[in-house]
Amino acid sequence: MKGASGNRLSPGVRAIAGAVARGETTPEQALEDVLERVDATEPFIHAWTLLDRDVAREQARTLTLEAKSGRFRGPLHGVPVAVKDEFHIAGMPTAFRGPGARIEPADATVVRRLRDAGAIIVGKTTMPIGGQNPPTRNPWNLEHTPGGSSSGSGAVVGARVVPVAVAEQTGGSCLRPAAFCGVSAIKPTYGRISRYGCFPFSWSRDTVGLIGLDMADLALVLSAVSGYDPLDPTSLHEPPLSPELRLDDVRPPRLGVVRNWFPERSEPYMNEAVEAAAEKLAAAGATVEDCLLPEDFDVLRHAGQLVRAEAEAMHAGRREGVPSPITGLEFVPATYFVQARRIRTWMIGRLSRIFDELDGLITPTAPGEAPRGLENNGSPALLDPWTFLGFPAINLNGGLSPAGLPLGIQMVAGPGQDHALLQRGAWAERVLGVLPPPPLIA
Amino acid sequence: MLLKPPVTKEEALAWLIEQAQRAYGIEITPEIEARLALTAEAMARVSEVDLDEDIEPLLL
Repeated sequence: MKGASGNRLSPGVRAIAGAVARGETTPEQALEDVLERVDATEPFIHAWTLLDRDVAREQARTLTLEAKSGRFRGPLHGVPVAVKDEFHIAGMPTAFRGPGARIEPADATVVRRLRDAGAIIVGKTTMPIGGQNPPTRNPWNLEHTPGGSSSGSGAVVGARVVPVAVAEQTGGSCLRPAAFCGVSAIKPTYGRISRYGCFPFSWSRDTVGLIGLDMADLALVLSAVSGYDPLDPTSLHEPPLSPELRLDDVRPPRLGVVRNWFPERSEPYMNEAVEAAAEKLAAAGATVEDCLLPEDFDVLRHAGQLVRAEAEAMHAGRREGVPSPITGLEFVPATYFVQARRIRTWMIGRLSRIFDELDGLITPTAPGEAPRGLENNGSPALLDPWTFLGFPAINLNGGLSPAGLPLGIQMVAGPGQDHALLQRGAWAERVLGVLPPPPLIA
Repeated sequence: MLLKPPVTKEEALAWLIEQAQRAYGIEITPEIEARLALTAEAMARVSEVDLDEDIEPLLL
């Protein structure tokens, strides 16, 4: 699966943008490098749903002419980006909608903002469709899932085909594939990135996220795509985040390692990896202490289950016959849904107070390594509560499992603390490092 | 099925099974029952929680 010599691994977002800005490369060359890597990897990882080379090349040509005349659209000029299939791309179908899907007339807001910043939209990446996992494979071990549901986005960044991919998380679908594929990711505060043009699964849970190579890259891309969107009434009424992490100004963080609920749902080797990471962070100057979540934390799992009635409502007019699977959510009285939403509000208040004293909580991202086979794309259990609450979270390097597969460490922050979380994540990244490319790629 | 007084998982499951049979006219297989049980457990657990009146079902 090795690519042509000298072009096996995608540079990062900042590296590409800087090289384009300095005239050391062109958007056209950056794209051709991607397409060469696609040719080398796609027969093995099967990560793309739709990649129209002519359309991508036309974008790159335009961006190259602009760059040569000194016009740069934004901080991502010439950077190739992959987009999870559920996001609308103008002129392309959304495969998730099924056979005969319409050609989308307009970009999702996140796609439009990437274009406005100068990015090349390379194509659409795989996700489960019709309840079936895609044939996408983990670039660290092709016998294992890359995770889901942002399967292709995790795999193409993990395989170093592109430096960044747009993902989405309703339960655990952004951070989990990032963890399984050994790369970085952010699932921001709910509403940080507009959901307009993203196929809805559960309106109050769906969160647009990013998978990339490091925190600084994620911060740069997030600065381009965040900010209030009048087309998404749930988007935060805040300006875009700053792209600068100013790490010299960042003090060692105060971190809480969660000692209940999460460890008992994780493999022993995953808990050992969390311990090892905590020791490294403490040795580097972080304040690391034990943290116990409220004893009734588990109620979030149940409240979140009932809020999944949103998905039932979404699909009620689309399905024919008996639904599959039958969850029973379609029968649950509205009072239970309201109660579940009230429990969410209640727990947001209680858990937010943790972040008065701590900068972040540390947990595993997933119970362990990526499962073998493609039938099971992994458990969202350790991510789901924070997604339901709308708290931001990132994936950090947790080392490798005994079987040599990536492990992820989740750092969670309080609502709205996305930029600070990326800063603390970047600080932690200096200590924990990032995983090298998969042996199959390097 | 009322939210209060709190329901048990068993009560909620029996109710859900009845609703599913009435709506779909199908046999409740062990697999279907297991999925309904997840929702029944969720109903039971959330119905136990008592909240102050100022806790609102905010979207954000």
